[in-house]
Amino acid sequence: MDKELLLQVKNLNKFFLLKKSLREKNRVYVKAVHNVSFDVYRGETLGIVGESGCGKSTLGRSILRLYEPTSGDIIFNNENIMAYDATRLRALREDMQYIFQDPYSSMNPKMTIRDIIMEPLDNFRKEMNVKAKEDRVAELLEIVGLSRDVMNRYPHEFSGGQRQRIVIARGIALNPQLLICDESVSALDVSVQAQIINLLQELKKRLNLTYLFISHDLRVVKFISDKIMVLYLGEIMEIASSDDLFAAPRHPYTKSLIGSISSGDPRAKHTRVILEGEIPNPMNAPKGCPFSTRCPIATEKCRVEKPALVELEPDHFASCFYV
Amino acid sequence: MKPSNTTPGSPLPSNKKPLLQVKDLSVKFRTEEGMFFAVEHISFDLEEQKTLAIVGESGSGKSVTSLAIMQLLAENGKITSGEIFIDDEDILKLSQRQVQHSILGKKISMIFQEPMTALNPILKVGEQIMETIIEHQGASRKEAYAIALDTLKQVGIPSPEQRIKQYPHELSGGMRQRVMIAMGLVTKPKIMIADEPTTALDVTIEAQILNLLENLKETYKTAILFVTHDLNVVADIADDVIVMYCGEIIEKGPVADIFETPRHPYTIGLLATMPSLDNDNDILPTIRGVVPNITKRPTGCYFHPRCDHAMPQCAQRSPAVFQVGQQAVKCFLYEQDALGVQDGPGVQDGPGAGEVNHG
Repeated sequence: MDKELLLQVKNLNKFFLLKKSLREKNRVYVKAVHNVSFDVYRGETLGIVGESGCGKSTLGRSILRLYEPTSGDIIFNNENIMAYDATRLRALREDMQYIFQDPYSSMNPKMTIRDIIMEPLDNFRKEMNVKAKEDRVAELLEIVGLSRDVMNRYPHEFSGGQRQRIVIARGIALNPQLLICDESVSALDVSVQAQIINLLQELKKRLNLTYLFISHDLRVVKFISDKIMVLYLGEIMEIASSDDLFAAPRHPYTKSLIGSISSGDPRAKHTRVILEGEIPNPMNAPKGCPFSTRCPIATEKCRVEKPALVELEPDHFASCFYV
Repeated sequence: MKPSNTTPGSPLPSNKKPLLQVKDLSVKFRTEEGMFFAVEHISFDLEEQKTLAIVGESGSGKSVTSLAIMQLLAENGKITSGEIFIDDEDILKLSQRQVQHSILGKKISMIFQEPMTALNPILKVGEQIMETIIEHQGASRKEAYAIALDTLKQVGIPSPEQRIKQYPHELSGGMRQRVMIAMGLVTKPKIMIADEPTTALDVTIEAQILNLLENLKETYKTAILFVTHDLNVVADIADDVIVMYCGEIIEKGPVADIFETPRHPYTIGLLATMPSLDNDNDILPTIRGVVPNITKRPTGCYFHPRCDHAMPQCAQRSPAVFQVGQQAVKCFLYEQDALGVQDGPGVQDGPGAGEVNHG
């Protein structure tokens, strides 16, 4: 089967200005996303992992232009959406949807479930009459595993897992092609988390969706993703297929990240790799490799020079001088 | 009451005396709809230098258990039955003053999930640690300062001479958690309760903190009661495990047994739903339904509406606790193969066989 390129991100940068000044050299930026490039094929799930402050959410939001990128190109369905004006950008919302972590705060508590899910239809499907829209809401509720009877109830009447289902129903209401899931299962209990992961897997097949799945949880990402991108301080450390990344991680950061998660096996105690130190403040990010301050194999070169993202073998990229 | 080493509370019979013994503890919460059990007739022992993990999903009563031990229950919560022995002393029989003076902080201390809310934002971290030392050990400020500095070093805080003068907001999440641990440690308690101490932390920092707790356990010979929802963390640090569901202990045993041969259908389900690193299936096994609300718990076994093995009796009465190998399981499936059925007044985990007891 030929793979069809859905999303291409090229040299994307998102800098937040922290200190204003008329002189460029006095301005202080946080480079939340720094020179990020990757491809996503239709029907694929790209997992984006990293610790807090690594820029994974900023990246997700920049791709939708919820945050205006500082520079770079975002090519979606062969069109550069960086060139879109407000009208076309609005139309793009039909094809790209964002599902936030917290279903408690991403729904208006005063709206009924019917109105919440109908909102995108009201905005983008003006030709539909109320009856048709209601039918669609009922259909969406059933797709996400809820009964149509819940339509007239309010968000507070639902559990966390059910709310996440409602948010997903709203997210797929317009038949998007790309769904960006930002920590979509992180706040859920483990038994409910499994239900929602399965729902996402099922929807992907049924609706031919493509996911960007942002999470700090390596197990969940491993399970759900075809390909995984590891971010650190806004930069890509490694991209590889999910299996390759876990079987043969190349970047020292990926190695420590995978090493620091528990084996889940009580007999294999004390095997965690302890990575010393903490993520540097993004305001004072290291000049060279962002990981050089914590890296067990860093040299002087790493501290002053940034390694490029290199394709080590087909579809396996890492940015390190010593891989 | 039977001696503790034959109860399901201590799966490994030993001669060691438990530091902490919880017997038949129940906690009720007052809601608009009445009084309901948040924790229902639970019993367990924590031995010297052991780590006992209490694991469960939200609403399982795991945090309420630890708050009840620390006597930090919210105003609408009340201990309705049970005893909590620390060093052979039932702390529920002591006055509040006695408890605060001689138990809390001295013999037992607690580390919370969110250090940002547990630390005082307007006091320098050094002051907060010194306060504990001065209060409990009657040390002078100078002595307290030296102890605080030394403790910060021990919990792995780099350049403690500077950190001691900083406010909580100036520290990272991992550093704040280390400060919390330092505060818990200064009085050299025998028991530490850690309530989701790594849940808010990044995975590399979580590994550091777990490692630190392990090391401190060795150094200080502390016993740890570790409350968590994360089974992977349990696998890493626990000696024994308690699985809670709807305020009850539904299974307990040594960690290796629980992970290798979980007995209760809920434990089995919980372990299966964890995405593992070598799982290549498309679909995760799930437990159907959701944890019932505290006000709407079913009759009989609380888990039966979600259980694939439910039998008619499961809906009618709460199962007794059956001992299977080193595990204690509150489930009718083990009525036959239990080594010894525990019933009558000896049952410490449940309301007793045949008796339905609901809030």
